[in-house]
Amino acid sequence: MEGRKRRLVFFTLMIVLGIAAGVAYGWLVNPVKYDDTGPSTLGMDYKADYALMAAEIYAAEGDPVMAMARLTFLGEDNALQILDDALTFAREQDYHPGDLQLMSDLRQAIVAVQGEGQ
Amino acid sequence: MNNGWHKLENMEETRQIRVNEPRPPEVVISPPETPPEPKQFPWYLLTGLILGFLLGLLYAWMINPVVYSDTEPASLRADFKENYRLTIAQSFAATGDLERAASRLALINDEDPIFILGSQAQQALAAGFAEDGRALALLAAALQGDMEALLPTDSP
Repeated sequence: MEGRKRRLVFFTLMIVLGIAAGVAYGWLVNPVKYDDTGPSTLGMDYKADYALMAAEIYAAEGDPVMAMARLTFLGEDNALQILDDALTFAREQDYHPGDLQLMSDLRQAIVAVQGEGQ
Repeated sequence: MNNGWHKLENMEETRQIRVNEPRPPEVVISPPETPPEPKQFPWYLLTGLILGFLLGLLYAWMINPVVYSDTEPASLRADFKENYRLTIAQSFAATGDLERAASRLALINDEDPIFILGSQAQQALAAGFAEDGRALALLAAALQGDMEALLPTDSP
């Protein structure tokens, strides 16, 4: 009876040890890899840079609707919200004033378009 | 009462008789000789370890996998990469900032960015998106150092 109890304790210990090893392997050594991610999972720095690209293109084209369509590529419906988040990040990261101006110009254009739509 | 006294006497007699008896030779009964059992490998421990490892993997891969929330453009799906690449090209066409476009393009981590830009430009042209095709081709040419070949020239 004593031997059986001892075996059960060691068996349980081994299961716990195995779980720890399995979790460590699955999280640290060989985690699930996302090769086909969507734009919504991009880091904020990349999102802000993408928003800046949209603002640069808008400055040349002058088409706010196309700019909004580009912004929604980042995975959210509200282009203005995406741009606001990007602008906040850009200000925190001390983007070049010229870049901040481009983004602000695009924001104004989007606000105007959305105002017309309402 | 008398009966009890007699019994005691009888017992003393019996005891004396036993003392005087010759002691029987001691017989040592040894257990039958069996070959020593080979030490068995503790398979139950290995079973527990493997079972636990599988449970751990199940948890780490299926139930609570690592969630990527700050991914890079290089991990985007192929069609999203195409869109990202096109936006970089359009931005370059708007600003002419090759250094910025090159650093942005590097984020996608293409093996041969010029070839891929050229290939995507051809696809865009074939699909009827001439503006997109031109922007992509312009960036490809600029990266090759051949931007002047694509810029419009004054007709004679």
